[in-house]
Amino acid sequence: MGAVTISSILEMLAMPFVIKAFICGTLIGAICAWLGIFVTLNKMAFFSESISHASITGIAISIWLSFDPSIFLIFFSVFMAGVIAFVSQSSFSSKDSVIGIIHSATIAIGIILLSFLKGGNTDLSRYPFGDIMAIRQLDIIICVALFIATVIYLLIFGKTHVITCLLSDFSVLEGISTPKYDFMLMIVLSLIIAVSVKIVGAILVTALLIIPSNAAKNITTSFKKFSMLSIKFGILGAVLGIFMSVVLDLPTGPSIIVVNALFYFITLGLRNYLSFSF
Amino acid sequence: MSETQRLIQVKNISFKSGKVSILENITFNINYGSFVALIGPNGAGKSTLIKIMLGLLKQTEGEILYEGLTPETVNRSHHLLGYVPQNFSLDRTLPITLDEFFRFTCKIKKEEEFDAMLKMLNLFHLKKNMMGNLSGGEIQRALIAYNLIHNHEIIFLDEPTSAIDIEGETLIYSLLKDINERLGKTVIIISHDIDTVLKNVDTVICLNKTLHCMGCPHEIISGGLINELFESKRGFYKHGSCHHK
Repeated sequence: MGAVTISSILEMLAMPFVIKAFICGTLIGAICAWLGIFVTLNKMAFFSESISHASITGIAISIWLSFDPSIFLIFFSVFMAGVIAFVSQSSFSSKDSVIGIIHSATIAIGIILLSFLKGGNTDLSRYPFGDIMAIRQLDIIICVALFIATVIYLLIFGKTHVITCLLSDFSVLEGISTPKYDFMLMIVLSLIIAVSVKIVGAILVTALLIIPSNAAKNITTSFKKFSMLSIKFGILGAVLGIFMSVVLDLPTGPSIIVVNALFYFITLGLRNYLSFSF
Repeated sequence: MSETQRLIQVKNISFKSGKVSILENITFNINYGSFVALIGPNGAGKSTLIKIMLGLLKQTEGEILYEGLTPETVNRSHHLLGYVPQNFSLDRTLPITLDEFFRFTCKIKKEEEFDAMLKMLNLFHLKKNMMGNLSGGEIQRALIAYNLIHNHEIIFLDEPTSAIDIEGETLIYSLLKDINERLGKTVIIISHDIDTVLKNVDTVICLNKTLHCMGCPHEIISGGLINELFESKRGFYKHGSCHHK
């Protein structure tokens, strides 16, 4: 790598594709961290992992059918969330087992489909690890629209999701149907995962959901501080990760995740060795 | 029975899990405002019965009526029923204070009343503490407070003193008695601590898959009905030592 000066860094940061990356990365970082609070509360990390990995199959199908992957993935992720919810409710197996079965089956189908797709397909090679620098105008529009929709959703239903988590199975006594709200959360999560896959990749997208909230959980003592710090970690992780990627010429998605992971281990150290919490 | 008497009616309730019969043809009435103990040996179906009465489980046969309304209807629109489960499944690592727990789960209309409620339940000084740091007894009292803030008319408690010490147990029973007598709430409690529970309640329902007997504590004790109920485990229960073992 050649000498990096401040002016060359500023020049790089001013490039349109980098600005797009900052916009999308910050929005996705913030909303994933916010949703991540509910993933942590409802123990939905495995569900998120399953939907994100299934997106590889979604991409393969979209290429096979010549659909736009970004749009197709949204429908495919929601479809997968529906399949998991339906099978979980009608099966005697535990929810984890059902997710594991559907997860494996979907990936297996994806691998079979990939074996039919000859030659190197750029879309296909981008999705496992993401490529935020290659996002298009359409991706930004989808990202902003989903960000706004999810913010509105969480402002309306966020409190109810906390109640269903706190009261668990007896929230029905207050007229709240936990399965209904769990399903709604699964749909919202699958939409956000579908968009985030393009940024950090199918393999790493769950990290955006679970690391900021768990890092915040390490050092906070109230729900308000937990929520605020989680969102701050999500935004900061995206900004620092993209910055590190531009300056050091590293893959962007993994850089974002590495920064987030640092937040987690630093806060864990603060809690365990310095007994720090606030 | 007078015409104005308000009743909780349990009519011919049976419940099967697969082919296994858990409850068989249970029928009784409870007056609103009673303090009721539901007792019986392990596996008698006590927890199952209160879950059916709460509408959390669907019975195989029979019906439950709260002044003519099913639990489902009551839960949808009236929110009369409160519940303190035996094991409150809260993630103890979750950073949420006791105060936040109430603010999320209850509509607090007047701060002064809310604070008075917490003081009555000896929880006020714990407001800013994380829920995960509270003891079993404090969690049980928090759940009782939750039901009182919601103004639930009928409160079901499933072995609320099973995980707490004698001091905590005495506090819980005096609170329940106060809630029943002063606030007029119907309290229905499952307990294995026969001695303590019989000193406090006004009605006892003895259950062992079927309804064994029902009456006031004096009738149940003097008639030797408790000994019949716990025939196979008499020594174990006679001294009310189940929860201390």
